[in-house]
Amino acid sequence: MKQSTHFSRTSYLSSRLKMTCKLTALFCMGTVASRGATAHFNKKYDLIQTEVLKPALQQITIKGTVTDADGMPIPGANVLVKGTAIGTTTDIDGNYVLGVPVTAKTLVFSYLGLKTTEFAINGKKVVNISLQNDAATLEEVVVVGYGTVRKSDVTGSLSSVSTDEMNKTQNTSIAQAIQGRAAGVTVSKGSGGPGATPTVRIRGVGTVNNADPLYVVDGVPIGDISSVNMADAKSVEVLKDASATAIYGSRGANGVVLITTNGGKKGKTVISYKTYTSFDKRIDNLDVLNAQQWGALYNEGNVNDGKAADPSLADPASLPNYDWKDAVYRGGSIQSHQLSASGGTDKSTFYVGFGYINQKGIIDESSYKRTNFRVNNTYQITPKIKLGNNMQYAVSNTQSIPSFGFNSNAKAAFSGFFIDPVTPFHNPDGTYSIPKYAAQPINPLGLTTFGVTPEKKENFLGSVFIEAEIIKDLTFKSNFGLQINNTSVDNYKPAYYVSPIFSAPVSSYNLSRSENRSIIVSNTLNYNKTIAKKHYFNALLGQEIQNASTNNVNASRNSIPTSVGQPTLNAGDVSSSTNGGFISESKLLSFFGRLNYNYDDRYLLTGTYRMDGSSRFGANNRWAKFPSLAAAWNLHKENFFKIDAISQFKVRAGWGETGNQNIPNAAIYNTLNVGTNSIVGKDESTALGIAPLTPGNANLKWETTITTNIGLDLALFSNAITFTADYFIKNTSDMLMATPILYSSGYANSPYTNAGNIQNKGLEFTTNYRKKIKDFSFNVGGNISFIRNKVTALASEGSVILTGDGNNFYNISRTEVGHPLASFYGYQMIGIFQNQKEIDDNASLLNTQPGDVKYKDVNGDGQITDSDRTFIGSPFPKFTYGMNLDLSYKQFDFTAFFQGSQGNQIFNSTNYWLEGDLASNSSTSILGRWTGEGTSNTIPRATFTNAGNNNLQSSRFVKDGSYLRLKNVQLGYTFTKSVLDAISLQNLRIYVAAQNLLTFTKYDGIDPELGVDASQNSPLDIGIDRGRYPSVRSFSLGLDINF
Amino acid sequence: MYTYNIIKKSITYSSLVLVAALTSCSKDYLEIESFGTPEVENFYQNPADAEQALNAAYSPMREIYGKENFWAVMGTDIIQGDIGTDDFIKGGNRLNDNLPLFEKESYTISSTNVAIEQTWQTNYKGILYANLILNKVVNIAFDDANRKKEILAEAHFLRAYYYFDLVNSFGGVPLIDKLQTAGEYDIPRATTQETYIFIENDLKAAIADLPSRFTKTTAYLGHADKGAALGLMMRVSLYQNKMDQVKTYGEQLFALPYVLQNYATIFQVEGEWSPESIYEINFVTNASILGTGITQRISPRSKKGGGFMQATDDLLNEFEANDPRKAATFYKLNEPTAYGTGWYIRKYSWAPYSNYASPTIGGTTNSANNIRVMRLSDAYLMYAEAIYRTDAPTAVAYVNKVRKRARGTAASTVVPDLALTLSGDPLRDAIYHERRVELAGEGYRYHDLIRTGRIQSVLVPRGFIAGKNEVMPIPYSQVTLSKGILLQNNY
Repeated sequence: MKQSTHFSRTSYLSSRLKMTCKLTALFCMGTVASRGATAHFNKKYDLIQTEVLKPALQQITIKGTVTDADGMPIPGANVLVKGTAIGTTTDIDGNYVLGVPVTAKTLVFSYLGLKTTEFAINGKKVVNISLQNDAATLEEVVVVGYGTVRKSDVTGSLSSVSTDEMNKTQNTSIAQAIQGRAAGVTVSKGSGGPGATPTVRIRGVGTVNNADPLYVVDGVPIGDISSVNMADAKSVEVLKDASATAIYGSRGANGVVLITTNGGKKGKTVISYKTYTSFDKRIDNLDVLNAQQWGALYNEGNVNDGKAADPSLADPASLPNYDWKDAVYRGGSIQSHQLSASGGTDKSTFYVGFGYINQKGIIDESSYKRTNFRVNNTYQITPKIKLGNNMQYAVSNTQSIPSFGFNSNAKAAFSGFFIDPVTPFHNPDGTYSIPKYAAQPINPLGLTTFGVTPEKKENFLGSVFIEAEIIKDLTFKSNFGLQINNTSVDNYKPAYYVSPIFSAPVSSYNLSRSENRSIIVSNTLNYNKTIAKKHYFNALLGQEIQNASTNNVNASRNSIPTSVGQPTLNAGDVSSSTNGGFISESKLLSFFGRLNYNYDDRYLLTGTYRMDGSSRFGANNRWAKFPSLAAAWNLHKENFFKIDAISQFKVRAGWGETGNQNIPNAAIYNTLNVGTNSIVGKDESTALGIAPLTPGNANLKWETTITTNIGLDLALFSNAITFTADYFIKNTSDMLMATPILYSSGYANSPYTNAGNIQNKGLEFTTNYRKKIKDFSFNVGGNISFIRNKVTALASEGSVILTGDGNNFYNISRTEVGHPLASFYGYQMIGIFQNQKEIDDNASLLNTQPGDVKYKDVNGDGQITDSDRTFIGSPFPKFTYGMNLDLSYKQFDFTAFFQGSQGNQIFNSTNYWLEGDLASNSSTSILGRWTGEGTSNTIPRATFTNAGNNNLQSSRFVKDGSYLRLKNVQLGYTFTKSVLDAISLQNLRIYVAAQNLLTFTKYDGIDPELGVDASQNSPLDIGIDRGRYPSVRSFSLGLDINF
Repeated sequence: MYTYNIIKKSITYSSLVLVAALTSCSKDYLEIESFGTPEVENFYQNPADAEQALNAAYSPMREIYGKENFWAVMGTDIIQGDIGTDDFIKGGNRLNDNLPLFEKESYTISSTNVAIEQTWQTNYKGILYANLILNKVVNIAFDDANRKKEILAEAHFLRAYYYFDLVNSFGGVPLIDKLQTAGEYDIPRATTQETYIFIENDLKAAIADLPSRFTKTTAYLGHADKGAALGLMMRVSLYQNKMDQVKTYGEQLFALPYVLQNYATIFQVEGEWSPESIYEINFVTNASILGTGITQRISPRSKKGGGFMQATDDLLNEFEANDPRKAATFYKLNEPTAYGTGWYIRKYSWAPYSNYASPTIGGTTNSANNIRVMRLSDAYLMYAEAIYRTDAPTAVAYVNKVRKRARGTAASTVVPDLALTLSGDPLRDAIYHERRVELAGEGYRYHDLIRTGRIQSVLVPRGFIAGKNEVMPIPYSQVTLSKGILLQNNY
């Protein structure tokens, strides 16, 4: 009886294991997997002993094959004579041979995740059996910090992102593929450029500091997941509330994204090859004037200003037209090849993956290439000890085009949009032209040719782990992880002259090398115990050290002789050499624990506690404690719950504290800058100067976020309909921030302080409905999140934080108590002055004429001054959402995925030129400008001299940034088994897909999908359009094969 | 089973040891010093530290004209100062090229003008660095007590220099002479008069202890000396109309062995630190990237410049016929697409318009032209202006020194001497004329017009609003951040 209990427990755990395998790598699920696996081995060893001890009984031999529902043989299935310990397991082809006593009546077949099936022997010698999927035990397992739990045991708020759905999209980065897939997770692109990293925000922006979530790949926390290959991901879980993230303590405040990579499964080796080719074009929302329209408008401006006409524009109709907007755009493409093999034996499993992505950008010179290798292995070296490794090597080459600065003039993706259309692309001598009229934009052909920067990244990410069952129910796991990111730039540029601010008088060679290294060692003890069948305990104790270091060097030389065919640094003039380098290091030391208690699957309780010590803080504030507590109640398991239609009814509540330590490593020190130099002496030698740039703050302490979460999980009609709702309040206090201080302090940079408090409140809903009718099945799902962000306190220093410059607008955003972070600030445009009387009757600026912008006199003093500036918009959406539709009919499958954002505003700084400067080209919206009373109340008249008044930073440039985008649509065909058998393949699917096929928006800029601008390096730079690399629309053709 | 036990034990023990070890040494484990930088607490210990701190205090003065600060360069008096006067138009590519300069030219100056903001910020950086010396170096033991005195005097000069740029640009500003800590940064503006008193006190301290560069080796050039402090004191006094003071300090200055040079060489390479030069800021083109961006801004667009600051006919006509200074000050470029007058400044130019090479290292904004902060002829004219009512003959004599030098070897009918009998308003106007011509393009016109009360006749017709545009607006970001402590000018 004891044996049988043990067995059923094994089976239970094993069944969890199978699903776990589908969702997680063995590495991260450590605890449960080891229990399952070791128990399984115990069983085998017991069996051998049993057989040795009882050889004498009279036997018959039964043999047969065990297959799954699809007829595939199952290796390693258990075959047991009921009521005895006699049994065996199937071989690699699912075959077994078992000697059974003649008295045996029934055989029991079991395999993890499949329904245990009994078979009456009745004298049969051959018993072939097909095991069906076991819906009851097909309990999903999800990865949580330092372990896994059954989905039904989850007490916190987390979202699992389907890797199947993700892999249906043609994205090059995992972060981008998460977009719209999980409620509460906002993904926005700072740039549509190849290899660009999008911004991920979980449950709003909780800090003005770095608000990126923590990424944990196979237990190794990393900062940058751009090197992780999407095809290698088995599961992606997003931990959202503090009761789920508090186990990550100091780094959990912005949410945690857990990525588990594929592992092998015991059994037949699976070889898979996936490929697609896509053809990309620009999403084109923005039209500009042609030469005729532009010339006429320019002339109108001169007439309005009473200025002499420009003779060379006397006849606009005869002007040659140069299509600058398209000058550097081209058709792009992506090629992706993903090859993997996985499998395993009793003692080891393996997964080997190879990936290659080659993206040609839609703008000249821009491209991205990445090659990935991954090897994940596990080895059961003794029945109770398992070793494993997860190793990845990736190398990427990114060619990026200029996008720097807060103006649009040097952004290669955009400068062409506002170059006057009468300037030819090239000068007669073939050099790149300088715009004749437009003052600012730099020739984009020159920008791409001479501004392209090649960057090579080599990345190693790996971990080795050992797991051992020390005593029964107690597992020890030690994990050593290492990430190395090496970035190198080797950039040779000839001498060039494109514009006064984009030129190089001599050739140059710039080189930089950056080594980032992160080491993590974690040790955990995991204890599982079930008492009296109803009390299930799981306790985790752990300790972790992390060490991150950076070492950079850069060097340059000029004047490489033209005779050098392959330039190197050494080929340059030694007297022109410059170099630099820096080092930084930070450490974390942590202790943590978790206790899960489950009473009869009805009441669930989770408590976690973590202590973190960080080298970034002074001795007095070094340690911080992060507790959390969560509870859940499975109402549907209660005896009184009698509603059959409801298959799950679970309520959850959680509370927890998490932290943030994202500050520079030396922020506590009053550091001095070596190299604040001057020049002395007749020989003008450099005099080394040392002076401060940033005041240190020895009193810095951890930023703390307290999250309270309540949630509801509902499932109806045998899980056909699922519904999840969460409400959360997330209070961040002691927010770490570079706090602006007055320039009169003399410091160039702002000191870090614990500057204030922010609150994020939100509601999240996720729902799904699936149905199968004969050959037709469909699945429709959606998620939506409403988040409100508000600054609740700011310390007196830095009580107003001004950020965001762009195209002659300065301090576009303002962070102040009572408002959302980084709200737009400026004058309120209330229309266009239609006639002189209106001007006379209202406050107006000097020189205002009919057709000019009318601003609101906010303080009512009869003048328009600085004090009439006010809050004019927020970059945060009212809600974001995603919708997913999957259909399949016989061999065909169809997927459509929509993603959208509603109610966010964009400050379109590019309209400074496109609607505000006649010398630059204008967007076609200017054709609806004011030309007389009643003609327009939104776009002012054509004027040069009064453009300054009309271009004040105002609500004129604040636009509705809402959009709904059909991100992905795909139609696939899977070949039938008969075809596959004929060509000896396990699976073959072909598909066509489109990305960003449709966009619904009223936004007037180049692309509404706009996040934190990567060129600005500030988390408070949100929703300001400076003309970025736009999203692409792509059409793809793909093929998935399993051998 | 045996192996298993061994492994089990070793894991158990090693993990225990590891945990114990980490716990016990956690204090040390988490202690990381900052890399590659001294800290304030362990710096300012010895004379070498003091010299390095001093070098840094000269850095903001250089940065204002330097390659690294694009908008500070635009905000200097050399460029922004004289745009909008009768001397220079903005230039550039088109009317709308360079909004901050356009605002100055059209007197629609906004409080968010980024060039003006840089003037505010960079000078205060210099004030902090000077204050660090004045507060820290006093406690450093020096073997050479004289050098310590000099260093402190140089710091006083620097602080005065930075505050003078501020008071000229903004009127009275917050006066800071101590090292501030967090929570102490909100300091209200002093009055203009208080600010000047502060500057004068610093300069007096500097004058007392600074050596003259003529008593030092050429390695000292670039450091402030007694002549520099006296010259700056003359200007500070002149801008307050303290004519007696101008006279007093002028006489002390003229006692030092300065000599006027050939006008055409002043802004050439050989003019750097010539005996005429009272103070200069050093610039050099090399891989240290410590060159100036002024040259690039004022060079024609066809010569890889920004094309800003083009001379008006009014200024060109101010030159007397055959005045050799006209050719030494301007050159004309005939460009069909040029926007502006096509007259560019030869002072601070590259070859072929001067003998400074166009920079090859560090890009076009890394020029080697030293900024001539004050020249002897400027001091002569300030002196003449100070005494013309009380001692007209001497004033005429000083103006004639300048005119004689301008004439050079040419006939005496070229830039002829002023009549020794000249006095009163005609003499005053002659001095004004001489300043405008002698110092054209060097960034004094705007303040000369304002301090001599010629706003109505010259500036107002160009859009200048009297009672407002004499000073620039305090940067909006600073007014906002100070929560009302910093009061805005009349903007």
